[in-house]
Amino acid sequence: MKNTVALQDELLLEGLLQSNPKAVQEIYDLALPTIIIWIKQNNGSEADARDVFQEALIAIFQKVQNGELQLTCTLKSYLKAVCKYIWLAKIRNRKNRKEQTLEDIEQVQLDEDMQQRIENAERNQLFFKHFDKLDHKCRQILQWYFDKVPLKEIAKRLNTSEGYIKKRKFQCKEKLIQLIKKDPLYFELKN
Amino acid sequence: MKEADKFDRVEKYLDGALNAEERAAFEQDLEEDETLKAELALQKELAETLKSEKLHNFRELLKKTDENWTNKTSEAKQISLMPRIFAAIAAVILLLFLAYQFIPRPTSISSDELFAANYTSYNMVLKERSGDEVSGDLNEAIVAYNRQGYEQAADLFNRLYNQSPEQLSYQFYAAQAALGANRIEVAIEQFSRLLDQEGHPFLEQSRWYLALAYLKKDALPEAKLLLQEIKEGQYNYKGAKDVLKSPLFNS
Repeated sequence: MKNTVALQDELLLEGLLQSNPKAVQEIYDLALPTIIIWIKQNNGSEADARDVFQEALIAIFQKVQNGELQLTCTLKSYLKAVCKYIWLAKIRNRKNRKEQTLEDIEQVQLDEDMQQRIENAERNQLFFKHFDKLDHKCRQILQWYFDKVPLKEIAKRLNTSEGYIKKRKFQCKEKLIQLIKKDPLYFELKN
Repeated sequence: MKEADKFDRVEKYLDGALNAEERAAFEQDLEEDETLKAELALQKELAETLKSEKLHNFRELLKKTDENWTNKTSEAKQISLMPRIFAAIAAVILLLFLAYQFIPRPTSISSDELFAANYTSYNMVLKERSGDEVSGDLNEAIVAYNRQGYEQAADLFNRLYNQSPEQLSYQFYAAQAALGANRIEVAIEQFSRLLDQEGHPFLEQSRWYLALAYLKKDALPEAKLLLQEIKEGQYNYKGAKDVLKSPLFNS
């Protein structure tokens, strides 16, 4: 029989997957203060901690969405471990990096898939950053297009012609890719 | 093949809009053209990352939760800090009054001072790597740059750029290091060369830093021209606008 904490964690993960505001708020209250303290102790700021926390939640969301997450510890410990890996990846490239041992939090092993997601997190953030710069219609068209919704169906949903959607899709995608390629971080991540 | 044509071909390939012959030709070209392969990989990765509506909704929820969190914690901080804030404000007002009475006010700013007020060195985005001869020099250059050893960084990045002139990032960081090391003429020459080339990711940054280099040199007309070329939405547009408001450019 599962203990209370494990059941509670399962409910929170389910809430995360359903984008339940109360569940996400509870996860914030549960884990973010510890992450803020840890990151501040390791050359970061509160703003850094909040960014890292969001990236960790997105990685966990994607894993839960694929039905791949098997918790072998508490959700709080798992989140802390994911945040630690993400922060480690970021501070390697910081300007005034000090050579010091990072304070360890509980030793939680992340599987290879999660480690790969964390490595991809910086590229994904780059994509999201520039995607968010597009206007609402562009974002909607592209998200449906990438999700393999036929252009005819997109046109129907937006009450317009297929020809218009084809043109807009091309323009929006081209603009997005240009924005990404203009970002020096893309240039660096590519190499 | 132009960038735009590659984008177009990849788009059609992914949409299944190429006929059998065109598809075979595209797949053949993929074997030989690394940039076409990279374009295909990028478009596939983009689709995979951005396709999920659930993920976009989740990201929106995270933004709202984060905003609420920030508002909640800053409200809590404000309430507990109120008495101290009032005392601090009173102390500042007294100090300002005293300063106004006794400290002579500067009537003008020099180009050197304006440069110092606006210059911050560009954050290094290159990452250390391992495995080959180049990476040794590159790692050394990155470390030197990050610890503000600009003389050494400039020499190392120049050497790297001479070996690999197609790597514009080396030239960009050589110029940045030259500026940091106060080798102004060298920085001007290198940033100017970067501005002469199109389609690379350092164009906007080069324009701003070249303007700063001219400012440091006290070449105001050249600095002004470059600052005026920086358009809204481009790198450090706000900084450029603020610098142009200086009495130095408006006397």
